Amino acid sequence: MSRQLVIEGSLQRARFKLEIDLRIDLSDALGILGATGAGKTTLLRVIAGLERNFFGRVEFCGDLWHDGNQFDRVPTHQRGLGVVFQDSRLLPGRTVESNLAFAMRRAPTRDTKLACETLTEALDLNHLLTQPAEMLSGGERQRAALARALLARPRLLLLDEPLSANDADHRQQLIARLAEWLPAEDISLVYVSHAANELAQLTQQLIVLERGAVMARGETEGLLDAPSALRNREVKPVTAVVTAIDLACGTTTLQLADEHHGVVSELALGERVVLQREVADASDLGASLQPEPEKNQD
Amino acid sequence: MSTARLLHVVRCPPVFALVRGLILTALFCMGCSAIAAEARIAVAANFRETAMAIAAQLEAKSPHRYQVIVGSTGKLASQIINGAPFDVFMAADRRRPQQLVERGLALAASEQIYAVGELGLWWPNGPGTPALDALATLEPRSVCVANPAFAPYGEAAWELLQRAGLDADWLQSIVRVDNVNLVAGLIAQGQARAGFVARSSLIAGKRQGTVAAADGDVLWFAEQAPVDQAMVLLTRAETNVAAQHWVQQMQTPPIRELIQRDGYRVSVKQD
Amino acid sequence: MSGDLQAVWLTALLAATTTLLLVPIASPLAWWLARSASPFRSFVEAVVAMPLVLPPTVLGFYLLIMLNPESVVGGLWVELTGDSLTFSFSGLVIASIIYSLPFMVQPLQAAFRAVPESVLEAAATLGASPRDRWLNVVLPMAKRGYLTGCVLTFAHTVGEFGVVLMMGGNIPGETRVLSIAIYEHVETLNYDAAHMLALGLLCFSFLSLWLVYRYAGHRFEVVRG
Repeated sequence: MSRQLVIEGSLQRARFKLEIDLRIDLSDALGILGATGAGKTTLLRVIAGLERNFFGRVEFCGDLWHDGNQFDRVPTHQRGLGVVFQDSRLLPGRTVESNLAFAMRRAPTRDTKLACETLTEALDLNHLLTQPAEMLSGGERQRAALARALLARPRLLLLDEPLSANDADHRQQLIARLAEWLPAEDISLVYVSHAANELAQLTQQLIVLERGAVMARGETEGLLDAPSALRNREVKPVTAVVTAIDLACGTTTLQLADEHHGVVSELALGERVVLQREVADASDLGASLQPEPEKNQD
Repeated sequence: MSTARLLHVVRCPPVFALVRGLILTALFCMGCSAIAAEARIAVAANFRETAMAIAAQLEAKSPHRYQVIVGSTGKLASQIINGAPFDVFMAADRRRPQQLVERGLALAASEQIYAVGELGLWWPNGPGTPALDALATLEPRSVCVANPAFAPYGEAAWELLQRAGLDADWLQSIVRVDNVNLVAGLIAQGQARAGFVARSSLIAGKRQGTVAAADGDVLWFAEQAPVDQAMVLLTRAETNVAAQHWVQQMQTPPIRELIQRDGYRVSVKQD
Repeated sequence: MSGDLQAVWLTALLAATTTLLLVPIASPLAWWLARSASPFRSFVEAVVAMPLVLPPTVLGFYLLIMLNPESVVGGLWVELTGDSLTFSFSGLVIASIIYSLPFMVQPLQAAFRAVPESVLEAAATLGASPRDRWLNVVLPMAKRGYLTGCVLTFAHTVGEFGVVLMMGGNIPGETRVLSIAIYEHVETLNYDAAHMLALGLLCFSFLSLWLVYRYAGHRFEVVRG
C-alpha cells in the first residue's frame, strides 16, 4: 500500500489562513520549507492531530484521521507517530532515561534493529541518561527528543527543526544516521527545516509554504536549485485546474480563467495547482497569466 | 478501634483511598451504635451535675451505659426536632417535652416531672437583702440572666422582672447567657454583679469550690416562680432498654434523694 | 481527660475522612476548572470558593435544613440507615466536604494549570491516551498541589466550628470535635481544659501551615473571595 498522506482543508490563524490541498506519497521522505510564520509547524500539528480547529480531511495510508471538524476521529495517540517538536518537550521532572522509557512502554511491538542502547550510543546520550531533563543543554535535549520519538516505533516521523541547537559535528552525524535508519526501519518522514543541506540529504520531495499555502512542490533537488527568489518573495498565487492529461506526449492541460495552457509536468486529473510565474518562463503560459493586482512578480 | 493514622495519604490512588475512607466511616458509625444497652440523655444545663451523678450510680448497679449531653432546654429541643440522636430528654420546663410529644417525637406516657427547681436572685455585696426593684440601680450590663428564648430559668427570671415593672429599655440591655449554669459562674468570677441562678447551680458550685454564695445574698422565688422540670422518653428509644431503665429509676427513692440533695424539690404527684 | 482524648480522635478521624474523600471529588473538578474555556467556569469557581467567605453558620443552617430527617435527603438517609444525618458523624463528613472544598480544589487547580499543554501534546504523540496522560504526566507533576490540598483540607476541617455547632451538636464520640469541646469547656468555666486544647490546636495549625509553606511555598495559592 502506498504511503499516501492526504491533507485537504483550512485553518484560520491570527496572521494567516492555512489552506492545504495536498496528496503526497510518503514512500519518499517529504521536506517542508518556508519562512518563519509560513505555517510549517502548524501543518505538522495538523498532521499530528493537535489542531482541533482545522476543518478538512487528513488521511494516511488509507486511515481517515481527521474528518471535517472531527479532529480526533483517530486521536493523536493512536496515529503511530513520532514527533520532535521545535522546543523538544521532554517530560519535566523526569530523567532522560525515564523519558525514553515512557516512549518505549507505549510503543507497538515491531521488529526493529533500533534498540534503545543503539540509539543512545549513536545519539551520544549515554552519559546523560540519569540526568533530569531540565539540566540538559539545547542540543542534548533535541537529541534526547529524537531518541524518544524513534523509540516510540512510529510509522510516521514528524521532525520540526530537530537539529537546530546542535553543533555542526553532531548535526552531520545525526543526518547520516537518520538517512541510514529511516529507510531501513520503514519509517515515513516529514521534515521541517530551514537548512537546505539537511533537506537535501534526508528528503526526496519538498513543499514550500508561504503564508499558509503551498507555493511550490517538487523534487527536493530541483527545488533547492531553483533561484532563491522563488522561495522567499512576496507572491500572489494563481490557481489553475488540471483539465486534461495527455500521456502520449506527457503534457498536462491547465485551465486558467477561461484559457487553457499546456505544461510539461506530472499532475493528477482534477488537481489544483498553484503557479508562480517566473519572468524567464512567462512565454509558456501566456501574457494573460497575471496575478491580480498589478504587482510585478520579480 | 485504633486503626492506622490517616494523614497525608497523597500517594494512594484515589479509588483506594475513597474505599478506605468509606469503610472507616462505616466502621465508626457501626461502632457507635453497636453497643446495645447504651442511652444518650439530653439534659438541661442546670441538671448537669445531678444527671452525671445519677448516671454514675445507675452504671454502677446495672450493665447499661449512659452518655449525658448538656445544653439549654430550648436548644436541645431544637436539636431533637432536627434529628439529634438522643434517647431521653430531661428539660427544665414542661413546654418543650409537651411540644415533642405533640410532634410525635416523644412518648406521652413517659412524661413526668422529675424535679422542681428553684430560681433565686444572687446579688453578692449588694445593698442589704437583694430586692427586685433595687436591681434597676445597677448597670444593665452587670446583671445576668439565662437567655429566656431557650432557657426556662431565664424565662422564669424574665417574667419576674417584667412583673416587677422594671424599665423596658433597661431590661433589653441586661446580659443574656446561654444557660443558667453560666450565670453563677460569671457572678462568682466578678464579671457580673447580680443575676438569676438556680439553686442547683449554687450547690454544685459550692461542691466544686468555685462558687460561694452567702445565704443573705440570695433572694429565692420558690413560690413565685417554681420551675417544673419534665422529662420524656423519645420515640426513637422506645425499645432502648437502657433508656427505659433510666426513666423508671427516676422515681425510685435513692435517685429522688440525689435530686433533692442537689437543690430541687421532688414532686409527689405524677402527671 | 478521656473525653478530650476522644474529641481529639474524633477530630482526626473527621479530618482524615474528609481529606480522603475530597481527593477524588476535587480532582476532576479542579481539572475541568484548570483547562476549561466554558463560560460557566467563573460561575463554578465562585460556587466552589463560597465556603471561603460564607459565614459557617449560614452553611450549617442550610445543611441543617437540607439534611433534616424531614427533608428529602435526610429522610432517605433515615430510611436507609435508621439514623438521622444531622447530629451524626456522617452528616459532619458531608458538611466538612462542602466546607473544605475550596481548600482542596484551589491548590489542585493551580497545580493542574501549571502543567503545560505542550507537554501533554508531546505525551499524546508518544502514544499516551487521555487517561494515560492524566495518570502518568499530570498527576506526578501535581504532587505538590495534592500535598498542599491535603494538608490544608485536613487543617481546615480540624478547625471547623460554626458548621458543627449548627448541625452537629455536641455528642461525645459522634460530633463532639475539638472546637466544640473547647467551647464547652469555656461555657462551663473550665478554663484549664480549654487552654490545653486550644493551645494544642494552635500549635497544630501553625505546624501545618509551616509545612505547606516550607515545601510547596511559591506554588501555593488560595484565592480569597
